[in-house]
Amino acid sequence: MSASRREWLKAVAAFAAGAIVGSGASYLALQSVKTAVEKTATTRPAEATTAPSTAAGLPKMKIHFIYVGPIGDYGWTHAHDVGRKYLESALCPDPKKWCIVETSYTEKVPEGEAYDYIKRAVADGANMVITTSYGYMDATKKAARDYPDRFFAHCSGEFKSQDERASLPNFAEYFIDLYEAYYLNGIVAGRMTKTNKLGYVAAFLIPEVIRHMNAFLLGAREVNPKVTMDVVQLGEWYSPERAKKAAVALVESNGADVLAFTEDSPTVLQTAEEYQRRGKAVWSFSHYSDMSNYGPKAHLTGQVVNWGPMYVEMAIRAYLAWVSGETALWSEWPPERPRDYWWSMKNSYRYYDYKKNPTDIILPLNPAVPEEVKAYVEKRRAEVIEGVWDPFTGPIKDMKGVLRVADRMRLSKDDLYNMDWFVEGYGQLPT
Amino acid sequence: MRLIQRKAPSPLAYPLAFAGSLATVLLVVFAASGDVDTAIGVLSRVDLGFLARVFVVVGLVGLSGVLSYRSGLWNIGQEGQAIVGTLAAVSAKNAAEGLLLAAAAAGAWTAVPALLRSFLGVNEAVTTFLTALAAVYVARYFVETVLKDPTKKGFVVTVEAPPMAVVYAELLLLAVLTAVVVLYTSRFGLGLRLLASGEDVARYAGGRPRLLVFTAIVLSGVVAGLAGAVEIMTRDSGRYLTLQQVSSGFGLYGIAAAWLGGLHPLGVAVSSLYIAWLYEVAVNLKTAANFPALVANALIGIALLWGLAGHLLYKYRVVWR
Repeated sequence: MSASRREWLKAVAAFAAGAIVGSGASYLALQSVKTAVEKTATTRPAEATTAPSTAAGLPKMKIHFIYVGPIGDYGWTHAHDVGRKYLESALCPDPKKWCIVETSYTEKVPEGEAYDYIKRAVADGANMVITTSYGYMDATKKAARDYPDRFFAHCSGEFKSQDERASLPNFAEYFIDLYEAYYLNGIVAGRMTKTNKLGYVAAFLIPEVIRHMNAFLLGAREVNPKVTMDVVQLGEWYSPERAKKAAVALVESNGADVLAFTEDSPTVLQTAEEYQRRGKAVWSFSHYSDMSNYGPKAHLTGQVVNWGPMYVEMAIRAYLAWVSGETALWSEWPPERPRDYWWSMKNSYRYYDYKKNPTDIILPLNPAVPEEVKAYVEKRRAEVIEGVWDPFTGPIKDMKGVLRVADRMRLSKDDLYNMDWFVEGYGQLPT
Repeated sequence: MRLIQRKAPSPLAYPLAFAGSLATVLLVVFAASGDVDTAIGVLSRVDLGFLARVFVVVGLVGLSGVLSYRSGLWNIGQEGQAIVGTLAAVSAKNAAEGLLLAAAAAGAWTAVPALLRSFLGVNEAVTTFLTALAAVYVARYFVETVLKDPTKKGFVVTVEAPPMAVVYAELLLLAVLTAVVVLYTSRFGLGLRLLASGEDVARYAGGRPRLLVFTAIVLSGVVAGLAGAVEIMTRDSGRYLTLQQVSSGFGLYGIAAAWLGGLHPLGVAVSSLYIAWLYEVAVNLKTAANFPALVANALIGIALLWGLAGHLLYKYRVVWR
């Protein structure tokens, strides 16, 4: 290493540059220390009285959402973000005059870092944090213990025990389930199929998806006992190319002519539409959002989810508890299972437009569906909404012929939540 | 413009690369946030616990990179080796056992490309990359079957890995770093470094090329496996795997840290700290300026490019003619 004068000059120049950058960095560091000190000096417990308020004199509550996917996907995360916007429009119609919430979100949060993001949201002044993936459950519960003065809600999880429920008064679980809508779709499918073969494209065989599949098959076999159903598992929530392959295989090699799916893309419907254009009658549905323009001919019906009304309900409850200091307003609701919101079609209103309903089937059905089928679907839908009928009403046997739901009995929320068995009538199932 | 080889390599190239990377990041941040206050907030906000965790994981993967790139071998499957280490950690009873199992499992996993390279001359860049892809599916199999938590009923979630304090993880990083430094001062370590100049050179210096190649790749895999184990064991909560997220994505970051750190263990310690800070900046951008999540990969990709440029300028000088 012989260093010439030029090398030394370079070294000095580099040092000078480093010193400038370094001093800049230390200035920033000092600044951040200063702001941190100021923050800690002025932080008080989150009281409504210290929150910024609007002209109407109402304090604003900050609600932060944590998403697992990008908001631009067509499924899960997008639906939650639509719900967040609905919440804003309902409780903050005019930021200057009448506004009681302020929402923000972070997308694509890795499950292993969920707690860091929740901590960050709380540090940024969120009074309520809503996390929207099963994998965030433990992180959210831990945050609820660490920040007893904030509100937390987690989507699709459960309380391990009554003790845990009692120890987390500021934490709620929530979910909107679609099994009744799938059951109605099944009725349509059972009537529309010519081959008596249905196909199902499933992202993962988790209880939620098994519930969907079982309800769909129950509906189909209620109106057409000859029907059997084959299932393909993708192993991805979002994978258009795999979904396409699965749909084609179900049609070509299994002879299915109605395809249902639980995954995050409209691919299955698009594939059905391609077959329709080539003159082969293959039908499919919408899932999670209205996908009918992806397959105008092949689209029979489908289900949409509206998280919005549920977010409004939870936010209002949390807000009232926050403003009044009466935590019971939040922590003892709903009375039958406190802080465990489990909504489904029974929470919809029969004569409402589906956009206002928490969960509902998209109407009208495809004109290709015969009138008497429409009438039957409408009858069943009314019975489900009124609570006089449930798809999982016994007697129901599983694949092995074991009676799983006794005559005229229904399944409890826990049975539905943990469903890991299959009803009669499956052909090919992923092992 | 031409590149001419220097008579003696210039270590100045790396500080320059650092400065260049930093300048690019500052530009991006200022352009993205639009006003000075937001930019300063984005650059200065640090969650020490989070930073420490990312630093350890990236540092370990970076050292794994050093162990292979210093020997002129291209292990780019750190992501897969880390996944294997994570699985091993999940199956362990306590943190120490988790580390041992992770090292053993990742070593065995990397032995396949290592053997293929040392005995059949199969390009290790290809095989390590392909085994990294395979690791995701192997991990999914384990998540669905062997390691699945039966108490979660139908939900596909593994049992929890044992907890590990971040302090111990930092000590582990220090230990591995020291071990690498010591290894490179030994005679065998000299053989490992000479591999970069060609197997014939290593043979002439009295080494056994096959053994050296095998050792370099497997050691690299072992350290990456430790990184995977540490990543899951130091989490605050949710130390389990689900089907959706079996890989953490820190493999790429570690590779960037290796090159930016001049393929030197001590350099990697500095560059991993920098990369961890970049990750924090990306998270700040995500939360403060609502930037898309992929900005983290972009920033770290830029750092990797600067690192490679630094490596080039370390050996060559640019002549403008």
